Amino acid sequence: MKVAMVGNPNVGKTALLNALTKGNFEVGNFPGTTVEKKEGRARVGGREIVFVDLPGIYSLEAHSLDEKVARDFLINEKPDLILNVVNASNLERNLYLTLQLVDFKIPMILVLNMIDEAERRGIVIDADKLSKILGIPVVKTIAVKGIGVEELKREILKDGRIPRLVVGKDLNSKLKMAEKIAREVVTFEKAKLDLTEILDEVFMDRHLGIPIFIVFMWMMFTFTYTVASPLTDLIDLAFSALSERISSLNGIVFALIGDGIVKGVGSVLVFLPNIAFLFIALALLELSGYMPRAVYLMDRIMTAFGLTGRSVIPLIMGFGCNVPAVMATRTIEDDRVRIATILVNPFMSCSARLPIYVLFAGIFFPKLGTAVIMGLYAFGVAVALISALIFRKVLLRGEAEYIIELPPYRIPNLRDVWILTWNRTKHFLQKAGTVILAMSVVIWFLTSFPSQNIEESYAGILGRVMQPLFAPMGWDWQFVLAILMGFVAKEVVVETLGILNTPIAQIMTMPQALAFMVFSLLYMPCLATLATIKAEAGWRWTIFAVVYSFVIAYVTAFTVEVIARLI
Amino acid sequence: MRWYSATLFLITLILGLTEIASGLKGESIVQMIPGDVFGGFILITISAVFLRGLTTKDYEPFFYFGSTMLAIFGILYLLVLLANGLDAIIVGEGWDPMNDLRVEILLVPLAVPGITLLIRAKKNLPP
Repeated sequence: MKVAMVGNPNVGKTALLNALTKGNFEVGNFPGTTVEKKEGRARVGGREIVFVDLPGIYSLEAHSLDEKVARDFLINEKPDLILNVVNASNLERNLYLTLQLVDFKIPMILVLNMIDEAERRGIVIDADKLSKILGIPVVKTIAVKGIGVEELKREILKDGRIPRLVVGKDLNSKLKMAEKIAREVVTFEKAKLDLTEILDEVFMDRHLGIPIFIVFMWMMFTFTYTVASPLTDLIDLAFSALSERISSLNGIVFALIGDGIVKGVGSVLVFLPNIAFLFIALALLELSGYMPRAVYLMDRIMTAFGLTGRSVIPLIMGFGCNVPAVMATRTIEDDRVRIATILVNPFMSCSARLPIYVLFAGIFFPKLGTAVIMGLYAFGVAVALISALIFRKVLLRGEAEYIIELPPYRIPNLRDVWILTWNRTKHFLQKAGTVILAMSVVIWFLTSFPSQNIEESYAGILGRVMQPLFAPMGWDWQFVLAILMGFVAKEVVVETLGILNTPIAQIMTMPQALAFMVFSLLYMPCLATLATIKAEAGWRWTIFAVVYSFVIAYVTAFTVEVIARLI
Repeated sequence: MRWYSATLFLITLILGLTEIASGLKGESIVQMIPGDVFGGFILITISAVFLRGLTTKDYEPFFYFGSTMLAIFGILYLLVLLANGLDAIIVGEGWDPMNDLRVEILLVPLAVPGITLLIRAKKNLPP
């Protein structure tokens, strides 16, 4: 039996899926899309049931990718039953979707979730009356506590009922009917002060809201990168030791396995703690109810650049590493805004580029090093925001459609946090690992043949061949090779210059160094980031990201070199 | 507890300004108060939360959450300290815990009254 779970965002569908399947669900993508799909299985009363958690949507009018995916699923997959999960605290708004689901003539059960929060707000719903009006079973639940789940399972075994209600096809008829039904079944008792109101006094304060948000972002940043660093170093050490051990054995096969495959797999897995910790932090923010408030606070600023409040978190994460930052764009509902955020994310200077800035700023700007580096970061942000504006006006046009709903705060269920984190992290490994692995073998080949001496390898030859392209910037071939190797990982730029013993101060001028830093800031993302962009946005946008960033980097670096030379 | 909230406001404000000044100077002015512009900004933000409460009739929410934020950041800095120690063991480098011991960690006990009152207030709310 296939059961589709449909409802607005933040109504507790994931918590309900968790409760129904006892955590036995997987996270993937709907075929051909980057929309997240959660699917779980359970045996209920001897019957095998597959629960498919559709993306949270406010309507089925297919204005956004999420809505389209949900609607297509209902039409093409023809589930046996729809569980329409509804937030009891906001019945009228949720009923609009319910009345659209009626048109599909699929057996339904309405799940009135978060009934405890509704009661705390003084909202009382006559579930029996609602059931009579809609003609379908209505079950009250508190999914995070598992309350009402057994009764829901009993109703599922009865296969639900096809709604009898006759509803007008147009938007206005449905809205009016939702309002009418809500008026008939909802009564309000005296409103009680609750924790949400207390918390919102602080977090949504006109003056404090944004500084508090910045503070929480720093907290997430520190948790993701600093607290995760022992695990990152452990993985790095383990794979480096294994790679050395294997490649020390004689034979080209061992060299391929050690220097190519193990090193390549290690270069993916080294990001794993950062990604896992990021997903933990994001899950805590999402499930606690704070995330929509952060989105609301930042929305006005981001809208000026064609983005939305939800773009802020991935952009800030990009200062640490673009890989988890691109993954974090999954929280953006509007596909155009999501793609724009993914495309500009690499301009947020990741931590891997810092060694490049420190090296060159230390040599050429000994007294102004900090100012130069901070200037580079600010410049990257400016390029990102301007690029976003251009993309949204030219390539990804259209007003972003989204609703910001402020759900009640709640203490995240740690089990939900763990399950969400595990499933998303596993998904990252499967998607990014395949491309990275393949490319690492290619790069091993280029740097190992025909000579193990990097200067005489294909990569070194490539550096010399590509050098004329960068002649306008006046860079020697070693710097060109370093830039090319930075395609694998930005840390490799400094490593390459070290291996070549490049006398930087002797063969480079200050304008050339500044241009080099600007180029490093802006040029194409590293392999791991590209693999993640491919997983999230497809090959077309990945190629665009490579070409666009290269062109911007080249033109800007050249301009910087010329201006710096003239000053 | 208004006076206590005022005390926490002053402490976090002074420490925040000291961290910012040290950060701009490029070295720590007072031991255990690192030069950290962003860390100072965080303390100033927390002090602003306490101050906002002091300027309103219902200061409790601001006192509760200022205390909670103080505790969260103290604990996070403690996690950073432990992570750096563990990292040093893994990569085989020397490590002096005093370098990572920050004043924010020592402020965590001062957050206890506010958090205790928050928990009591939550219990008194309808279930």
